[in-house]
Amino acid sequence: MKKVFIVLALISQSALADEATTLFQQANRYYEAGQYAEATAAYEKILASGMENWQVHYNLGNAYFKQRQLGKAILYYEKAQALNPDSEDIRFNLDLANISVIDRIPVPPRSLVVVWLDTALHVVSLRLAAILTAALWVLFFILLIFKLLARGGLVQRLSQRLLWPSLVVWVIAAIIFGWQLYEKSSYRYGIVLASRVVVTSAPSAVATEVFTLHEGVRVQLEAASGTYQRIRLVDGKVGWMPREVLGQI
Amino acid sequence: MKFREAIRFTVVGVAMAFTPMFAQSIDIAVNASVDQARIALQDQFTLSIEVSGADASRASEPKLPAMESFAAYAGVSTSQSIQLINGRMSVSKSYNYAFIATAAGRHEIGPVTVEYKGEKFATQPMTIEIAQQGTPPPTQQPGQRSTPAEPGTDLGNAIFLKAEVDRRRVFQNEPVLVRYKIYTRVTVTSFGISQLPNFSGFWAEDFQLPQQPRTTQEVIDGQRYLVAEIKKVALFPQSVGKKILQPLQVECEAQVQNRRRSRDLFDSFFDDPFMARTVRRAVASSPVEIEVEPLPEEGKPASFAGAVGNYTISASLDRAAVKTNEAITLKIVISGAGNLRVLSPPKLELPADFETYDPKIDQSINYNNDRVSGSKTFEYVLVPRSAGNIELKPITFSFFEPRSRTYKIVSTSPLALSVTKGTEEFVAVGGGLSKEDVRLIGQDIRFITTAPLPFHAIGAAFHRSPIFYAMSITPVLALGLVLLYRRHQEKLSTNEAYRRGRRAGRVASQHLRKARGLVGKHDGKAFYAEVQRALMSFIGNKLNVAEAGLVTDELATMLQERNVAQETIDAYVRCLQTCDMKRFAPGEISENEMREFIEQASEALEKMERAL
Repeated sequence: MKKVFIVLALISQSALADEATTLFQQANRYYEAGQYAEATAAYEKILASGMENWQVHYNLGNAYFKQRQLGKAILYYEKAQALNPDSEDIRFNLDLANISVIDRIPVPPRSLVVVWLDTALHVVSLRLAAILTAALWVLFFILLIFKLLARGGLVQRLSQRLLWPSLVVWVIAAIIFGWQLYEKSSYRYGIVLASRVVVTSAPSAVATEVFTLHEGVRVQLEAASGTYQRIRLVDGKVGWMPREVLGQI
Repeated sequence: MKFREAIRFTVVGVAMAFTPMFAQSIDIAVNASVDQARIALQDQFTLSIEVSGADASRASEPKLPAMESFAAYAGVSTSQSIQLINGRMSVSKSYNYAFIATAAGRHEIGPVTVEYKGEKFATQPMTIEIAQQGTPPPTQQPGQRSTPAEPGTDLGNAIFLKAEVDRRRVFQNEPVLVRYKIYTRVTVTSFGISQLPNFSGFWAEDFQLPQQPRTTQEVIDGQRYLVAEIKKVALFPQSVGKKILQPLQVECEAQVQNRRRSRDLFDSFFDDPFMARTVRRAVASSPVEIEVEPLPEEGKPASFAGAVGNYTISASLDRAAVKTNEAITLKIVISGAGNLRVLSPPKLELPADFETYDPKIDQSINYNNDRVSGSKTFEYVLVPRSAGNIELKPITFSFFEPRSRTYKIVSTSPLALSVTKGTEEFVAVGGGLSKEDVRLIGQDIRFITTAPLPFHAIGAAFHRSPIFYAMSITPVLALGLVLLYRRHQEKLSTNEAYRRGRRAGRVASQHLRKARGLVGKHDGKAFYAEVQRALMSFIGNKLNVAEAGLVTDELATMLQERNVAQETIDAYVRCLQTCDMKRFAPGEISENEMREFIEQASEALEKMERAL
């Protein structure tokens, strides 16, 4: 019974993927024809069906950018970048969109060690780190087993040689993977979608206005209360804003 | 600028000694007058004596009456003029004696006598009233500053200039209205301001006066004066303290008739301005003192920027809806009376994402009803940079109202503005972009990707896929198996008991299989021997003992030591005993019996295997 269910699920998944591919090509044709609203609708439909890949997000970001919806454009570029952090196209378009963001939030200077560490921990994407971690894990065990079973000869010598290096590489990959997993689960980010939003000191409409943010600003999402979301800026400013004006990356 | 109206030179309070000209014998006339009939103590008055006649120059100097009791002699000036009227030469010689009044009261100036050809001509006595100081008579201080009289002039106080202020105590920046009026009893044909006071310490707003001054008549001290306003100015004091308004000086030409003229009908025919003499006179107003008070500190609003008066403010937008990056005009109008010219633009409190430029300032100022009023318009160009419904906060303006001596704050109503997104491409907004950034904006985003990549469910990640879990767990399990296998192999090679124990089942079943093959062969002995071998080898291997010397009792004891159930041992031993017995028993053993036994034996063996 369970097997049947899994098979059904796989079939429906592949059916969805086929449908998504069709929609994706349709949306691209709209985009190329300059019908950005139609393109947007088609890309959104793919996401609504529960399927995604970084290209859908990237193309959707482009479609929103062409319609001058800066906030949404940035939101989808960020989503695309989360899936594929190494794409130069995404980074280029995201940078271009960010130029038009009104707010300039100074990034507090970080020490060289922190920068270096941060770079090191993001040298590969989460997906790649996961694959590497799993593959190196398997490799390590294969080498171990070979070492245990082989009686002399090339196989044993080779496995003997590679065993410890593979463990060291695995540890590095596992640290990167673990850190990025931790980061992903504990730091959530959002993009301001309203053209202008007043950030208050408390989750209430009558609270003191602390500062104003504009469309496209990336904020860190913290606690939520009612319809309000506590946000933090890169420079450490904290305040509350209505959750509906935020798009979570 | 001329008085075209004829002004009679009327002499009031001046007694005229009139000598009719009967014949040639009497041909001079002596005339005496004082310029003012009423003066204040310590003031100067002039006693003018005019001797006229064909031969007037030959008359002696006038002899003045005793006036020491009430006036001090200050000086004399003389002048002479010669005229030809109706073919007769007329000489007029005038003496102007200046006196300073020294005693209050009504005094009589006695007759002035002039000798001519041995004859004495005397004028009639006159009276002069000298008032105590502090109660100046109406014609007091006309601010007359007479230049030395030209020959034959006897204008006295016929022309003077007066500076009138509407108040003498004002607040800083509160206007003082100053009117300069010329008072005259003679025909003034022209006049011009020769010296303007420098209104230092004031901001002056000149009122436009009609080209032709409007004249009114005023009677001062019984004398009719023609009054004309020649200058009107509103002064806004710029600093605090006592201020002195310097005098205004006017030079005018007046026409004076010969006083000696007879009053007959014939003469009055010629009594017109063109026939009169023209006299130039310079007159000046007297200085005026004004006290300027500072604005009170109490209740001064923070936004106060020096406006004094009475104002209203209004604001409007040229459109209520606008697109981003498009300009709209915010018009602020401040109107009212006061120091409009110095008003600074009101402070705008705009949302941060508005770009503003310096305002365009227009003002229109009226000078009606003796007030400086009007309106000042500030036009701001605003460029909203982001969309949304925005309410512009009320614009406030504060001023000091001198009448109520309080500060007032007026404000506009808030203005609603709806900003929608513009159609133009994103442009550089938040300022401070470097040139390189701006150049980048000219570029477009990169094109979409079209090569379809496999899709996956949203949120699906490799580290959450079954493959990842399999890759994580399988190696560990594999290693465990390998380790177990290795241990087994090791035991097999090093541990005899283990090796035999591991082999026991296999060996026993081999023997049993062999025995099964013997079931239908009519060889009972061989069959039972095979079963016995199976049973014995199993126990021997399991317990790692030599099976050759194994005795049943010994075996049972060893099994008991291994905590095997007695029942199982009994069944096993019974099978062994049956084998022993049947091996040596004579006669044929039936196939059925063998079949039954082998089942029994394998059952016992199975039970034993489980037990061990």
